[in-house]
Amino acid sequence: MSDKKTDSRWRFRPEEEKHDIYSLHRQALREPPEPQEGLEPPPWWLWVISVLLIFWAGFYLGRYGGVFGPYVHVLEEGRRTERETALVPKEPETTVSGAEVYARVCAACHQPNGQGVPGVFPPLAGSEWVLKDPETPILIVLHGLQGPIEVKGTVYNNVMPEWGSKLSNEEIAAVLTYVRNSWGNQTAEITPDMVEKVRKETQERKTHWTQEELLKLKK
Amino acid sequence: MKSDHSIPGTEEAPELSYRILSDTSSSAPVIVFFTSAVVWLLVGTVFGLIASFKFNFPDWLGNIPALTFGRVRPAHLNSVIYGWASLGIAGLYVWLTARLCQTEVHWRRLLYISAILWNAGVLYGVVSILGGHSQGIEWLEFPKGAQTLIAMASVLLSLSILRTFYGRRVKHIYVSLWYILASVIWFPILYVIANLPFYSGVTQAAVNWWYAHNILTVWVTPAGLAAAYYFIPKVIGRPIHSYYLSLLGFWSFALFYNWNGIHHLIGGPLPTWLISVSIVASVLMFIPVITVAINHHLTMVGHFGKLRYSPTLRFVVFGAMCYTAVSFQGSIQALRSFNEITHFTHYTVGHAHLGLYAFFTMSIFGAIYYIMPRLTKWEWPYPVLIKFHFWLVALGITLYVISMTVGGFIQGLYMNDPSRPFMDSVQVTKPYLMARSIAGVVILIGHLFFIYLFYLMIKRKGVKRLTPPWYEKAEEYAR
Ligand code: HEC
Ligand code: HEM
Repeated sequence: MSDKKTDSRWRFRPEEEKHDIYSLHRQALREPPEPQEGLEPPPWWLWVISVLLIFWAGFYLGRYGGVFGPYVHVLEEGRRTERETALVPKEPETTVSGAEVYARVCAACHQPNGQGVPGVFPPLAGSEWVLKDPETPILIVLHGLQGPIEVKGTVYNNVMPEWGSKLSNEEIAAVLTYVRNSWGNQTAEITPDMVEKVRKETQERKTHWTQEELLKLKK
Repeated sequence: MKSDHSIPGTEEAPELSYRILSDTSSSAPVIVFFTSAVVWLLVGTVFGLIASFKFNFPDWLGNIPALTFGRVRPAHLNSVIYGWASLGIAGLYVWLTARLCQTEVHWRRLLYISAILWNAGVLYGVVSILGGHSQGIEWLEFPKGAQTLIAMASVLLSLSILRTFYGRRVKHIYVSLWYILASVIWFPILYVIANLPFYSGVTQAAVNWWYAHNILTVWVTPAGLAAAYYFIPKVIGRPIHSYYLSLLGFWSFALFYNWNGIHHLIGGPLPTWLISVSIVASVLMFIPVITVAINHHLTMVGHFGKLRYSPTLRFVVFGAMCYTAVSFQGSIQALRSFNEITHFTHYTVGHAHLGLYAFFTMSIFGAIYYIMPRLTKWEWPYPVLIKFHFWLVALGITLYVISMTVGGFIQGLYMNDPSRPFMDSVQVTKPYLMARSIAGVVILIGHLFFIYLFYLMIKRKGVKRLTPPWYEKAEEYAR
């Protein structure tokens, strides 16, 4: 081969290369012919597999195809398997969000972190009034609170307005459940029924509670 | 026309002169495509290895912004897909189209422009990613400018190939050519649609994975299959088993594969029917895959001994077998019950490399081993290095895929177990990730052998041989 030519030597330049046709096209000439296609029939079991697969496809789409409509994201609406039902969290009793009510109503005074404002608004985080029994916080929210009150060893003397006329039983239950289970608090939930009961019992009350009254009620 | 293919000595066999004619005309553009592909293979491998080591040594190179994981990973993905794979495909398609149409390559100038634009696009794109300018959409990270260059390049490539096809001298169109034609028509359309600036939110995610999987459907897989359909019968010198199986395989592939993309979003906020349709289409892929597997297997049957003597055959057959494996794996992986274990785990990465490496990259290696001697008129100088190359990458990718598959599966089981803290699912993958990095080093060494050989080929250096590798041992198969 003409090994002295260094530049673009791979290029085919028949006019420059002086050798017989065989050595020039050795690679192409030694090849077998271009591939052909045989005409064997496909094996019968390939058809069987294909038909079974297509049958399965119809079944799968029918069963797991979902629906066109508002529940388009729900797999098999109304036909959840047991296991999936177990995985889906139980729907809460009420659709009101405690966090939302808290942010809207209480956070302005007791602060988003439940710590209150020193000397002005008492904290809800770790407060014995919140955690004690379920009735006390219900009473406070229903009718408000005023006068001196001792929370976590500090005495506050201010007025908290009543919310009984503005919040529904569901909202009060939700917000108190939220307060009683946030910022380190952890106690039983409060249901709308409990709020309803307390509301009935104290129907006549028109003024804010005071510390003494609340303590007396508990006795 | 007559005069330009009447090569002395081939008068009785016009096919021979056409063969020489097409090789001669495809030589320069194909070498340009293959050479740049090989450069991107090296770049991509190094990025892949860096990304892999970051799982073992999280702080390594962490203070160089361009080499943080979030940039190296997309740099790896994009340089192997748009650099190595795409340019390799371009070279394969140009050569194979001319061969199968028994004609010269038409509109060669378009091919040179295409190669330049393509390389410029990938270079610009990868540098942008390293510089922090990524679009943040997987497989579409390149900035718009780079994407425009690549889109133009792919259109030019397609035009030239379609023009060559139009100038064909054959009546019967061989099955490899079906895949090539489908591919060069689909790919530019796909690429342009995916890059239109209309999508946002959930639609963006759907388009994203429609695109990312269709890259495999319309670009990578047809190339691997075209190579297998051509080189297996070619090297062993017998017809492909069945034309009917080819037909069934091609049309069921075309019908089912392009619905697959949404199986990447199982459990995502997409309509249930959309996901279910993609699952069904993924499972129906069993039909084309089994069909193609039968067709290739029955062609090979009785000739497996030849794997030892033809570098092309061993790479291509390895690739074809892995095609069956990766497709079976993919169909099962798309089932909801299985996907909820493997999604978000290394299992997926194992699957990606089984497909893009063990199937596709191996097939392209095989094709390059066959094509290069015909373009440079030079034989592979050191057959023993081909052996090194084959065994290193074959063992490397096997270790890679096994470690990611097993590790990923365990990771998935841990993540789904509510009694285990999340960190357990991270800790448990550590040895598997180390195995992956070792596999990566082995693969890189294999690539270095290949690149050295490739360099010798284009320079026509090394031992001057007159026969293909292992010719002495099996004259008729070592082609
Ligand atoms: C306008 C400001 C204000 C708002 C709004 C308010 N509070 Fe109060 N809250 C107070 C004040 C002031 C006190 C202390 C009253 C006192 O000094 O007697 C208090 C006391 C309390 C107490 C008893 C003391 C303690 O810290 O545990 C509870 C329980 C309580 N609030 C719950 C709530 C809940 C629940 C809401 C939302 C529904 C709410 N508050 C909304 C100002 C407010
Ligand atoms: C030495 C060889 C290689 C190594 C070490 C390697 C390593 C990696 C790593 C670490 C990732 C990121 C995985 C993650 O995010 O968890 C990755 C992703 C990927 N690599 Fe490679 N790689 C190599 C070769 C290749 C080659 C040659 C190809 C294709 C031709 C390829 C295709 C891909 C693809 C498609 C992804 C994306 C996977 C996904 O999205 O799940 N890799 N690789």
